[in-house]
Amino acid sequence: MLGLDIRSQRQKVQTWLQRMLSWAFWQTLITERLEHTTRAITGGLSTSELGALLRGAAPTEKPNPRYRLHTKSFWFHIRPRYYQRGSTWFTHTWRLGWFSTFFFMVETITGLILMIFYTPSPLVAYGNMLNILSNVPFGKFMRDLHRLGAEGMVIAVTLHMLRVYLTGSYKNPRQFTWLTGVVLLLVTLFLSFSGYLLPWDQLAYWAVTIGTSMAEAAPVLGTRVNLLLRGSPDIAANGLLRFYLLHVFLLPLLGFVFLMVHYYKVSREHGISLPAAIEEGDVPVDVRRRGEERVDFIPDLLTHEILLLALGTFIMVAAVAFFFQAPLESHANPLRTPLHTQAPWYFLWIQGMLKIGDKVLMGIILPTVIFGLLFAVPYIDEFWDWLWKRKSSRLGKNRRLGISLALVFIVIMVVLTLMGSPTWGIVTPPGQEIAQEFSPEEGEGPMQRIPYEQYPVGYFDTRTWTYPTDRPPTEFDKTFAEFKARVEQEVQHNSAWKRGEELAKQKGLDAVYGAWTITEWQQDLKQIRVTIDWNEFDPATEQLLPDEKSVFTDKTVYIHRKFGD
Amino acid sequence: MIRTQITIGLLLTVLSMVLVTLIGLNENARLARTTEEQMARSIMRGAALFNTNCVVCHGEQGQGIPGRCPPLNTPELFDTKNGRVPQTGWSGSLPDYIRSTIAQGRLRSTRPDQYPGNTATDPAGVAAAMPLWSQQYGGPLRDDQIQDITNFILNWGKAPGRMAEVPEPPQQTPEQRGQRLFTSLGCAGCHNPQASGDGGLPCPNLGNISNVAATRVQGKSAQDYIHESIVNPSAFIVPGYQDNIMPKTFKDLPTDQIDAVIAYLMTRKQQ
Repeated sequence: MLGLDIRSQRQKVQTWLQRMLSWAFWQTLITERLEHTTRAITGGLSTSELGALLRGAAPTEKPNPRYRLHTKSFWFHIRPRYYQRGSTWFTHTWRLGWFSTFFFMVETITGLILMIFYTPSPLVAYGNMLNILSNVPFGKFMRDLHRLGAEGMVIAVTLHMLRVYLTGSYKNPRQFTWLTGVVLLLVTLFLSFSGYLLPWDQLAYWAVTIGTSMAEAAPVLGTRVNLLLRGSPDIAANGLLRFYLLHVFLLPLLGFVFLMVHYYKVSREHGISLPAAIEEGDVPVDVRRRGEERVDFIPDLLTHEILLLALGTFIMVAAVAFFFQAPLESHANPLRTPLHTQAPWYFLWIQGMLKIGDKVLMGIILPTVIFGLLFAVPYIDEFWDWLWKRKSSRLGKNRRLGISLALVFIVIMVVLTLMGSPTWGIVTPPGQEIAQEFSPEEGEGPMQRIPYEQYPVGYFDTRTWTYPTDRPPTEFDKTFAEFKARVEQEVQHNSAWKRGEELAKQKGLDAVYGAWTITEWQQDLKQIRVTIDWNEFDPATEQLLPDEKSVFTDKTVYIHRKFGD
Repeated sequence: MIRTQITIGLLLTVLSMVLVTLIGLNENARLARTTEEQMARSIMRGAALFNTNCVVCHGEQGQGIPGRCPPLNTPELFDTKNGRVPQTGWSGSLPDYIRSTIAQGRLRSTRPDQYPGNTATDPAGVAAAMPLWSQQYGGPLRDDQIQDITNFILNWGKAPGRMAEVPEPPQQTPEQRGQRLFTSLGCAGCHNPQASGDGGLPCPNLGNISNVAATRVQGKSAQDYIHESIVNPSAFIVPGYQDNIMPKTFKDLPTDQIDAVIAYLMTRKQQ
């Protein structure tokens, strides 16, 4: 029929059926398919090679098939095929560059998720924060991760730079790599700083106000730079939008570009530096040989990096699950400067410098000089070697001056940071300071930690109150005892208070005292009025001031039964 | 080495996943708790805002000042069937009523005969009964702060009309007690006790009252004059000020409180 030979067709069908039913056919087919797919995915590795690789065995084919991945796959061509063993020693790199990148990735992912729930407008930004905390599943988790990652990134990048300096890795031929690294440090600091403003709470608002007002001190351009950053004389809607765009667009873009250049320099051009001792042969030959031998990226380093990834993720998740909380203070209020305003910790050294000198010199010129010097480190180094006509060396014993300078610099930075913290050099009236210690304007103090139920209603006076001996002390008793001790301590150490008390006693008046008036103000709400009166007197005449003229501390604190902690 | 690293890595990954799962299981409870805590904090902030902005007129505990501003801590406000909300013809909810009143203020009092507000104390009689507070309309407060105050006022609804007893220092002098009462009874809402003008307030300055009172009415001691002014404000009107601004209800106060206020006012004198 139509030239179709049914008999021969039947023959064909039979042969075909026989083939279909034989196990060998299927086996070959599956093996071939599997082999093909595996090679397609791994960029040329056979299944047997993959097996050997996972077992940690040596390559089964020659030339090493594992290198094919680096030429054939998109992801792995970025990575070198092998490293020199010495450059991968943990005590040489501490994996700090790797962790910097890790944090950058964490920030990108968590940041993108947080972006979904955030609008950069002063009217709603803070409400968005509350919403993320109270209404978005895993919202707090993401925010805490993002904040922790930011701190981690600043730490990792700084330590990375320190490590590179101490091992002399910035030297020829890696000068430009160092330069891009300093740019990345700046990008990291400004990324962190610009993110500071976004929650639009008091912490954010005032830290950024301090930061940008420093820009204002710059000669000639200061006011303009400040205006450009803030979008108006004060930080408001425009400023928030600008910081938001800096934070989510410009700075990450800059960071990404420089990260690529930096990484290209490290992995493609010069490789990670070898430990100086290995490079300059300051070790026995066998150690040197071991340090210079090849380590394949796949599988040795890739496995290690996946381990680091698991470790980094675990540490972050555990930290957020058990103890780390991103702070959130009350809504930004341009009209009210919190008592202890401070810059983020990594800028405290600038705040410390501002306390000892002029705003222009300390806030603008010196930081510029410091970062300028950082940029120039490799070139200054070369110049120094040229000046003394000696060979460049990375060994610590040949760089005593350089390393000593770095250590002095670190000590200075630590001291400046301590000076930058609000406990140094800021004089607050002692009564106000005591009230602030027990109930800070932002966050929680000892008074907030007393459970609602343990607040007794009544009037409590440090002159008459005694520690209970007939019953177990409550949190209130413990805290009020601390308060009493604190007030008495101030009388001991503060000469004005001491003299005031003496003058008052001569006149038979009240001694210095602090008092808490605790009222059940509403249902589930208690009011605690803290009064501290210290007999202020006129220093010229040594006359006690009348009540309405003397300053006394009067702070009203409210505690709700369910406000949490 | 590779095997160890793979094992540890896998273990850590599993641990991370367990932690995330635990967080996830706890998430609904945490969200509910955070919502509750945020409400509590809002009430705490609202209490502080009320203390700085509203007590002058509505009293420290929202008891109102008779003849001037209405009480807020009263069952009438929280009675949604026959209370203030239906009385004023407000079609929204009680929280909306409170929030919008704070935000926009009141041009005219809804009960001018009972609570004329600032209109009565304005010599020209045109001031808004209650000032507006929202920044949207040029007031000083943000909308979230207005929400805080609203939450604080609504919290009275749990026991409307209940007044908290403020513990008093045991060994205070009558003058000290009077000073506290001067504020808590609302006197400071209209009278400036410092010797620096009336500060735009519609009532006489009391910064020098102890000297002034002694000479105001022939044959009356300073104490008697102040006492009369408290219990019967219309008996003597200082020239330039209006009658019927000061409430006439202070005569119902306990005698010891009136005496304490008089003792305090007797300390108000300029050297």
